[in-house]
Amino acid sequence: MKTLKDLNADESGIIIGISEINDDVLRLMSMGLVVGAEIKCEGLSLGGDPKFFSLYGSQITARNNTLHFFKIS
Amino acid sequence: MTIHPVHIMPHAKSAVVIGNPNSGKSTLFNHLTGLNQKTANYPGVTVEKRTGRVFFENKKMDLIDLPGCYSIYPFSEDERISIDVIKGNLAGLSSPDKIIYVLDATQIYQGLTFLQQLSELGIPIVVALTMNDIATKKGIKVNHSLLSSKLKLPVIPINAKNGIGLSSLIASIFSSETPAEPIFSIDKESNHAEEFSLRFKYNQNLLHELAPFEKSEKVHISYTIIKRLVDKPLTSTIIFLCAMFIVFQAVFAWATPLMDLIDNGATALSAIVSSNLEDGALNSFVSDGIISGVGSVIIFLPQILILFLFIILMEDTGYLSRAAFLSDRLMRSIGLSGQSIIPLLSSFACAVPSIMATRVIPNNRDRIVTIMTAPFMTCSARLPIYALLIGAFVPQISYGFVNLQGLVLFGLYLLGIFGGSLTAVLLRKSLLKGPKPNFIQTIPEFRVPDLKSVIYKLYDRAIVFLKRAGTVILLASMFVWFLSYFPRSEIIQENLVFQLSETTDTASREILLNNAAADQLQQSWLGRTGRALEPFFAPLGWDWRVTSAVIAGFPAREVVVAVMGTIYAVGEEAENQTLANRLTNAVDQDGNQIFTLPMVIGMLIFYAWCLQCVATIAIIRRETNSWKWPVISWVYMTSIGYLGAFTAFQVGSML
Repeated sequence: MKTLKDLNADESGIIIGISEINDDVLRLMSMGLVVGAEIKCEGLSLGGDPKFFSLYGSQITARNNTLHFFKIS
Repeated sequence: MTIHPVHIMPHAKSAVVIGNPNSGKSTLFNHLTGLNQKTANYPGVTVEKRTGRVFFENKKMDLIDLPGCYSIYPFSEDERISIDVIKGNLAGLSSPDKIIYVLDATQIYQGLTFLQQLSELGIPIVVALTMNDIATKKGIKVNHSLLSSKLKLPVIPINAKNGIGLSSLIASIFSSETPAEPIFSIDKESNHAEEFSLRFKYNQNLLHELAPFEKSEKVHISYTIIKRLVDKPLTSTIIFLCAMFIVFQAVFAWATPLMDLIDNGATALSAIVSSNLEDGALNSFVSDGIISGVGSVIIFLPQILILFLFIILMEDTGYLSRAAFLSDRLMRSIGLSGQSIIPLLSSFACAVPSIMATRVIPNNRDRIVTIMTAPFMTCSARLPIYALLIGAFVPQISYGFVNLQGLVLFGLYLLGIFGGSLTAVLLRKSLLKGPKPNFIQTIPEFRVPDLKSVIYKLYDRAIVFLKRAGTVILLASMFVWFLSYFPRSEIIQENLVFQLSETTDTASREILLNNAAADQLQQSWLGRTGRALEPFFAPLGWDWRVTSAVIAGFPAREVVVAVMGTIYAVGEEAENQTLANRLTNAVDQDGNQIFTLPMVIGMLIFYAWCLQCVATIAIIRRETNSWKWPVISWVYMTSIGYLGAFTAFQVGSML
């Protein structure tokens, strides 16, 4: 199953599930990363981690160790 | 007896300014309140409380600028304070009469969830719709009337920079008395994850169903160019390095003329006072104690203002978040996140503003680790000592392009970085153990900073520094003056007067004055303390004179050079070369050389790691709101500085 961690720059996806709820995941959910949200990877830091996403006009960064909980289609 | 009626003025109503982080709250607050604002801390915490007052038709209202939140469930101390203030849970502060909710027009999806939750509290809410100019550049057109009718709340589009919409907003704030109705109610049994899912689903539907913003056809070309340059890894890294270079240069080099000006001003003032007062304790106290003490505080101001100007500009343009994003990988290796990069880089100039700059780090644990790490970076105050000792004891040899003295100086910078990194790792594994810091943040859109807001923020930082740190540094300077001045020996003074009357040669008179000053210092409390502590520092190869100079350098380490000048009888304004020669030839009672290479290396290590700066200690106290961390920091840094100097001297002496 592909997760947000696997998205490369300029690739998009829709969140279809969240495999674990912890504080960091809840933090991202409070910013709008919920099931059904359309998300696009806008950029990567050198080395590919953290990543930088856009979501309905908002832009959010997070590390791969949190992003891998978000399953995407 | 006449009894005068007591007029009780009705309390002004209060409102909070709240919204998501980076939505434009502080800019709006600054424009609404102007200079009618003050900054304090919430009781018991380090979160700043910014309050102000707004006036409308002979009515007034108190405003509180609250730290930004994404929801009513706090994730950090700042957010907890915001929610406690809104809910009236903070001692001594009742819940606000009104809420001014700042909604970023480019991030409506994200901003509506918190607004939904606030609407359930039954407090009148006015929505200030900000960033409309950026929304236009991004190609987003917001239908605010439609949005207002759907939210059942007044929505006022504003542009704080040019004042558009501000008068309508103020009128709406004062007239709005109707408690907000819930925008969207959810099942109270839902957990937080379910609640977020439901609320954002509602936001998605709202955006699709009502199309409160329509994509316009043209996206501004400048916006696209900036975005392409800054959001690509390679170009953004180059831009980041250039930006850091400019910041570093500015704080380090651009501040120097201003600092010299302050220094010269303090010296001139001291000379004027000294020449107009009779010789004696009062003269010395005013010129050496008070003026030098105040000067040692104000001298930091140019660096603080320049650093904060850059930080505010980077923050207000939206670049700071991108810099943190780019450096996160590097900072992770020592248990920190990208948000620590700016404070740590700026501490190469001065730890005081850099510790103040840790406010950009939302997590308190990460912030304290950064605060404890920052004083290890080689600040500009260490350079006079390095220059003196390296110039005197490291041979001026070059290997091609590499100069040995330069190499040693570079090594000392690396030593500071190593000490700081080790400290961060150790703290993460001991006192500040906890989950690894994560790096979750929003990246705001690029925008042109608002000049008025930048000036308010700079003014605020300067006042905070001068008020809080200034008092502590001044007291410490006066204390060291007291130690170094008293008790005075009448015999030394009488001998000096007699010897001066015997000679008219200027050079000889200067030698006599310098010798008398050295003798007075030797028998002062400072000299006596140096002698008393000599056995403790003897394993480092230090005699009482070095020990006294190090003690005197506690308020500010750069003072050490001047005290050494006095104690080695060359005068405190002596050229480095004169003092260096005197140090090279200094011997102890048995005729052994004091400044041997192992001792000097040890002393350099001591100064690379020890915390000899009362300004830094005062600012750690202020920023952590406790004496615990400055005490730990001082004891820890002094201890490892001592151990480093001990090891260098003992091992070096054996070789």
